Amino acid sequence: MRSKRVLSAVAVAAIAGLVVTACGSGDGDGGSDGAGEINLSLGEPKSLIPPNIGETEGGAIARLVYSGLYDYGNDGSLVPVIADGQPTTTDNKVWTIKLKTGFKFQNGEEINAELFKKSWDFAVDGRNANGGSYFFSKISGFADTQSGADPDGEEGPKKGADPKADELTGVKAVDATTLEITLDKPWVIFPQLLGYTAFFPTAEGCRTAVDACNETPIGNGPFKFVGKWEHETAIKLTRWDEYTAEKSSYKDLNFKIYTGSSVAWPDFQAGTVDIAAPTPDAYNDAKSTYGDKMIEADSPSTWSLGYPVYDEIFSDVKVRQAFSMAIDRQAIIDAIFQGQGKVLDSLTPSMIPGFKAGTCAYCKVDVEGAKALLDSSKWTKGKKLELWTNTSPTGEKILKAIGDQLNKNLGIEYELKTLEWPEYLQKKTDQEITGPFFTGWQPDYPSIENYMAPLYSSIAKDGSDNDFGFYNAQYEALMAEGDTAPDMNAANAKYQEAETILGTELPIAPLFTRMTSTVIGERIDFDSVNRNPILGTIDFVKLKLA
Amino acid sequence: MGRYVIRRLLQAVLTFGVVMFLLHYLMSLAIQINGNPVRTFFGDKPVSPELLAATKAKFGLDDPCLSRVGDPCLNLFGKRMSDWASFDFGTNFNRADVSELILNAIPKTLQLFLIVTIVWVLFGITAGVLAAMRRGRFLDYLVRIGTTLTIAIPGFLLLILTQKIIGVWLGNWAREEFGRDSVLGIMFQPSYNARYPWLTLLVPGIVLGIFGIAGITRLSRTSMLENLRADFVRTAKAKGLRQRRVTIVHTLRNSLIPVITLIGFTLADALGGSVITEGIYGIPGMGKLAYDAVKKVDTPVIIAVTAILSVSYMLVNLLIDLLYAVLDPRIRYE
Repeated sequence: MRSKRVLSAVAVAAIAGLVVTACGSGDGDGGSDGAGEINLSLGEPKSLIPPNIGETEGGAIARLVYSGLYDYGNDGSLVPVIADGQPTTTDNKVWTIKLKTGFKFQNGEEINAELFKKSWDFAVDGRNANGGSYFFSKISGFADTQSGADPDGEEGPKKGADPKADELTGVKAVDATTLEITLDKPWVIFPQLLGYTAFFPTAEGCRTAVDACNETPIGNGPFKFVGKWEHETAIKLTRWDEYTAEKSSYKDLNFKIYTGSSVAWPDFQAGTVDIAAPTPDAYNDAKSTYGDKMIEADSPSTWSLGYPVYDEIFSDVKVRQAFSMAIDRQAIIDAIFQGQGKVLDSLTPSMIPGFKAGTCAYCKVDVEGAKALLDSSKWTKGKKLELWTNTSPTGEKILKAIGDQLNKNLGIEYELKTLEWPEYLQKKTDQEITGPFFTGWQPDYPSIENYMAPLYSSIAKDGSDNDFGFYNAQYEALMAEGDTAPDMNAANAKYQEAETILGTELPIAPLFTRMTSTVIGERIDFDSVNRNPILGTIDFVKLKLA
Repeated sequence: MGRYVIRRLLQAVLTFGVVMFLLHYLMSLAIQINGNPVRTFFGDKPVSPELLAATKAKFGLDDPCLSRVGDPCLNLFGKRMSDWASFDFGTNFNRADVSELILNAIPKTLQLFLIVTIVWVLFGITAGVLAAMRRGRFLDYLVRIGTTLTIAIPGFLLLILTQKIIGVWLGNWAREEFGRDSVLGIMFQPSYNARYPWLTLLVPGIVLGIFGIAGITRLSRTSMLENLRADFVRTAKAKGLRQRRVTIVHTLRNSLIPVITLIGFTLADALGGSVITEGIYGIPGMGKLAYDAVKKVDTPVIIAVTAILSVSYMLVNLLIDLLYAVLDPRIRYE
């Protein structure tokens, strides 16, 4: 019976060993403040330098750490922060902005008109390769701040020349509190851009040490960094008490960064994250559990099916219209997103200023109409249709659903063409795609103009140098009239006319927007939650603890 | 022994060079075939060629060889290796220092693997030994069925289930019963918490340990069974040695040789498992770093992480070979 004792000794040791490991790790008790702390989730930002921020994650942090001239209200209007009142102009070409005094950076630098000018010179300089520099492209002198074109093309050894100018001549600091911005030509929409992060100021100490500033931003906003940006792990902020505008009622704001396959939802259920979006498979469950604490809202990002208008067959508008009419958008939303989407019947979603319903005349399902149109078009019967998307589960699912519908409704055989994301984007730019393709649009500033001009307008005269190879003289004329209209309302009327042309000519078939759902945890006072439909984020400064 | 170690290290250096070049070539090919990842920074937005070129230069992806399919980009390789010689691993697409990212990630993966190894040694070997001693009885069948089950259940499924059942349900119960900061409340967490690294790594560590445990348990059992019938064990028993000494010194020690080899290899395999575990539990270790970098085609990170993994793989193998000599006096490296 001796062996038994030995073995039980081993087993006991095994269990004891486990207990020891468990106990040995009880250190590092960082304390729990309880009150005064809000914990949120975030994806990994790409950059935290304001003019280089192009995505929601970086934008969310930047809006807490930095303050700009303006913020966006829930209706997309400009809410002055550092600016004193709305921008003024007499001709829509020269804009004057007055600044408030008393704003400072967290390193003590004072914020005045001159600092904004320097920040913007830094933003546009070609050598800094800031992703948001294109926001300044309509300000005069922009072209001279860009690096020259590569003289021997991508494959040659030579590099483009350095920029001709160090500063943006269109921006002038008239005095400490007055900024004057001159555009190349009148553009009534211009102020709408000013709430975007690209126009946020950057401290001298940040511009001279960009990489360090990216790790620990020198902000001027309601929050400041605690330690560094812990990449792919966490960002910790705390209230900056010297901030002169609206401050938070709680002290610490911690973001846990989720990347790859990790998601915030289980942590929300466990109570360690205060606000989170349920995973798609947990949606129904979340809705029944949290019901009235769940915010469901439409998103400003649109998803569409683009047409290669430069292609022989798709140059025929009837083919484009027929395909659009043969797609049952609601069925796709129901099948793939559990109904969490909204069918688009115009090119813009409804929360955007200037939105007009029903500008797309061919976005409703009409199988008979589609068949008739297709029969009288350039489409050759029996041809195999190529549907293009980048390799992503969602994109492939949606295009497969579209393909199946076209097959059922119009009897067209299709083939899915998938490409890796970089190659897909390049092929799109190079107009090498030979069939309808999946495309999305995230607006840069709240105006219907932003859903059209960057995509379908032509840079060269009489050209078709956009991704779609689309050119329509009447559309171009209406957009130009809108740009030079005396005020925003008159401009939007022109833009809506232009949108109606796109809705008939269909360089793309608008599909849908996704609905987002967010659940607010019990530690947060639900009444303090203010979600901005334009930015698609909650105003974290206004949050209160329950 | 010394000469053997030197020979092995020299081989390792050569292997390392080949691995690095292959990896560099594959990454260059990926960019040449799939397109320059810098284009994706702008998404669906139109971007001017000047800005695109400037951004490529910023991230060191502007070498013309990257647009010629099949070009081995020897210039880039030489530049990377000379940077490495001065311990400069470059920056990733988020402008973060790669060396710092890796230095932050390594301890977490090591902690995870320490837990995994402890699970294997404590549970795997113990269960195998117990099953061998109780051959043909209930415990033996239990261990055999248990190991089959752990092989049959896909790892990610087990991880997601554990996250939900232990992290959320059991955890919420513990947090309600004993308070938010109780040991159980923190331990049963659906994801890693940097404030309590060991406690929150315990559950994912044990789950990751389950992936490789079957092989180790089975091998310990077979190996024990074989040695229990060996002549030297019978002799030891006949000599009247105490049962404990026969089991531990004569049988167990000799049975451990193949098991230790397997632990080494399984650890290397577990690196693959750690990608999923670290991903689902949000543990900022090497596996997650590699996974995220591969998704973004973030070349500097992928190459640096793989370099470190291949070095550690080679070191682990060397260590195992040396351990043989310690466990089995008959093996000598001369």
